[in-house]
Amino acid sequence: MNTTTIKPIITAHALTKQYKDTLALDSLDLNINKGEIFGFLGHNGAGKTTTVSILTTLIAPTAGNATVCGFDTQKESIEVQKRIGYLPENVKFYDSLTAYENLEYLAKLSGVKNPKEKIHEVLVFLEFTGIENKKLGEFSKGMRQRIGIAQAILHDPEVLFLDEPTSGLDPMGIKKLRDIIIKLNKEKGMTIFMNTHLLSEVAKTCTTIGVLNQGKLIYCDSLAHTMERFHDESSLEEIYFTLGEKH
Amino acid sequence: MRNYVFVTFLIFLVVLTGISMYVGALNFQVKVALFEKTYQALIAAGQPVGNLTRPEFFPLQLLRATIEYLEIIGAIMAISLGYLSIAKEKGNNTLPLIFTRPITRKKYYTGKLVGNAALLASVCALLFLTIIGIIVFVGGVHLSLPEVTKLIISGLATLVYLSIFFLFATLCTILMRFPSNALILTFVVWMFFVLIVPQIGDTMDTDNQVPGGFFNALHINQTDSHIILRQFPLYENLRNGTEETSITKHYERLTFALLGIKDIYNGKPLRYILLDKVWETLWLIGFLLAFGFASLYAFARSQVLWQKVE
Amino acid sequence: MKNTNPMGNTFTIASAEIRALFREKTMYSITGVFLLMTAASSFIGWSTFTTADAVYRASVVYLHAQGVSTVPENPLHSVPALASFDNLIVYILLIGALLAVIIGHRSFMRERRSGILQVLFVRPVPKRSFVLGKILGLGLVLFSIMSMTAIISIASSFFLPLQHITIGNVGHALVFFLFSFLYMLFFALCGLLFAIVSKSESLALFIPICLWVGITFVLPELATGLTPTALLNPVTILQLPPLTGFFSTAQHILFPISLGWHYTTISGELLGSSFSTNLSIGQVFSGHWIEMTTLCVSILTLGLLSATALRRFDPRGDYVNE
Repeated sequence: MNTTTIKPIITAHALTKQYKDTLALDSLDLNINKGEIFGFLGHNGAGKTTTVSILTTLIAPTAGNATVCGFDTQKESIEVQKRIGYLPENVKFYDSLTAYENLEYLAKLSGVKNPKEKIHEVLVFLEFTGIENKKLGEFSKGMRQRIGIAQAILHDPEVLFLDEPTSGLDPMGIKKLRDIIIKLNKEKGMTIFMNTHLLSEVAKTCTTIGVLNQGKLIYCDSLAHTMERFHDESSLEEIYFTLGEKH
Repeated sequence: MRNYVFVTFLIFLVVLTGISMYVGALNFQVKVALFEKTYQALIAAGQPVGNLTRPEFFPLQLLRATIEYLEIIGAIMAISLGYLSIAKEKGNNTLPLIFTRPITRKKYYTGKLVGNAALLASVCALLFLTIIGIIVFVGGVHLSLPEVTKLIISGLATLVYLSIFFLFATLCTILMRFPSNALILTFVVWMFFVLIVPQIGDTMDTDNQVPGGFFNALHINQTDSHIILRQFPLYENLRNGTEETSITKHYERLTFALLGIKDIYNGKPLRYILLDKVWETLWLIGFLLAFGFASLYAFARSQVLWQKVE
Repeated sequence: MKNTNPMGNTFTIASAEIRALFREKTMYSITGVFLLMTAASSFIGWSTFTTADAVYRASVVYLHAQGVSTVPENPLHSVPALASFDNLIVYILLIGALLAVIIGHRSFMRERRSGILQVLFVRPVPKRSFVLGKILGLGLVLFSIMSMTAIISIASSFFLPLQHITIGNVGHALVFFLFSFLYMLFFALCGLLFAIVSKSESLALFIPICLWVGITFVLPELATGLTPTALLNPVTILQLPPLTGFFSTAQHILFPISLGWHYTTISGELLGSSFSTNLSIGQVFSGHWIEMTTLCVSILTLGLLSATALRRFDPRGDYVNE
């Protein structure tokens, strides 16, 4: 019998982050497998964005370490950056440049060989063509989010980090985003790490969930197993509140 | 943050006041030493010394560089105060919260002006008290009542001058969408009218074309030089006219006259000086009122104030 | 996996920088003012010279009428060919340096204001490449501004001549503009560095402006005894008599950091306007190799400090728009 151990694509071991008087992350241990859509839940100020910032190499942890695609986020940051895409909350661009100019600049910095072709390919994939020559300053929130995803996947990353991607979107925008996330996961095999508050979206999109409470990971399991385990609760929302009450 | 910036400039200005007065005193020492040397050389050579004028010490003349620093750096300080008083509100987006309270915009802005005017007045008071302190306690020089009065009026003129730049900065910051663009614009305008325009006036001065003075090189005295220059009215009017556009030049002329830095006013009574410099005084007050009303009107009407700056 | 090409990234960032700077209206305004002043400076220099020449002739007539038989020679004949560029020394000290501070400041503040840094810094681009790209972009923009200034000034000196201009004069003038570019680059890097390290936008601008005031006015005043406005008169500053006593001592002590004064002295010699006239370019720079080294070391230090500061910069930090 062939037993191959699947190495997690994202790992965090005793990850800690201290800001002056605040302990944002408290010895976080996390393992996320390739191909998962991981929903990271938690209250405001729980440490979700801090976690993503460390995993995307933006900041250094105070203690512990993290790896993405087998590379240490601090010691091998360039290798990590080659393999990840990141959509921050309220993504910003150069408003005076067009969508194409913004994407071209970011594509070149990501080492994309033929930026023009790749940008067209990505915009077709996202069903978002015809806007290339429009200035970013004229885009609505939903349009910006889609350009945000476009810039994150230009270089075909293995892992995509999304920080509150539904923030400020209307219901149609949320649905479009959900469809894109599922499409990226199914068609391109991307692992998705998503910070979010919207439990309904987590229930429709994610395969695995983690719950952060005041910097500590209080729960982490597959969605299917979670629904089975908490069969007394009728929705993910109730499960989340139950977990919160216990901690 | 606003306090750090403002306090930094204030300390900078106080230090520069001390440095410039010290340098002024050193310059006077050099003059005296040169006079002594020349005097001794003439005596040794058996030459008459009647034509030599012994340098006389007038303490207020030490303030030339100080006034120039007030023109330059005092203006920057006033600009930073004016800019920050509006930029902070824009950056924090606090104005929508304030104006849903029962207070008119004009009242709110007038309150801001009064508060900042008091701040600028205390700065001027601090600076001029420092000057008096240095002259009296460090220099050990007695100041007469007329001299103290002239210093106080110079302090008032300084307050008006700084207020003009404060109001100009608030006006630009109110009108422009991005505060940093307003800051850049005010600095460019400051540079132009404080530094460039007066410099153009000096550059166009015929006497400044040659080191040591053009007319000195021809052994022509000041009276005769004025007679000759009367033959070039267009050029001289253009030169003077250029300088007239600079509010800094008016402030400088007023304060140099009050402090006796310009020799012809040295020792003259205060009434004489104020009457002779009424044009400069009117320019200063005119600019103050113009920018004051313009900024009040702009604050009351501006829609840009409400736009969230991201 | 994607190839990351550090040099390629540097050029990408540099070209984005140039494109962004040339799209900013504020940049056009300030550059326009600077170029306008350059043109005005040439005209003012020429008209003042010709007027002074006419004043000399009127003075001769006047003196003859007063009974003076021997009139001194026209002092303007000793004015060097590139004397009309003397005002440029002052304008570069003032406007040029401030323009450079603003360009450097905008270079990084644009990124902070736009909020794009979080997206930029997850790209596989080393921070040093980012800073190098910024500096390269800034340098090219400043170089193009200086080139336009050089073209306007040199062309003006042929159309509005004070004296006959030779090829040697043009060579000296070109070296003067190259040297001025380096001086402006120093201030641009000051603007860049403080845009990276400062918490707010206005503090990032105020600190380099304070530095500029210190370098342009305070240090030269301590070293020469000249008042701030006297320092703006090119004839006064370029023909200063030898200093004694306190000023001589102060000049020695402040020597390493008196960049503004070094710029003035070296420029004066390059343009033939100071006491040390008719020096070759090599003689000027060999006589001031310490000052040149100080300037180059300062530029390198600012570049290194910027790269270090960027490594510690948190792109998620709150941008303070005040």
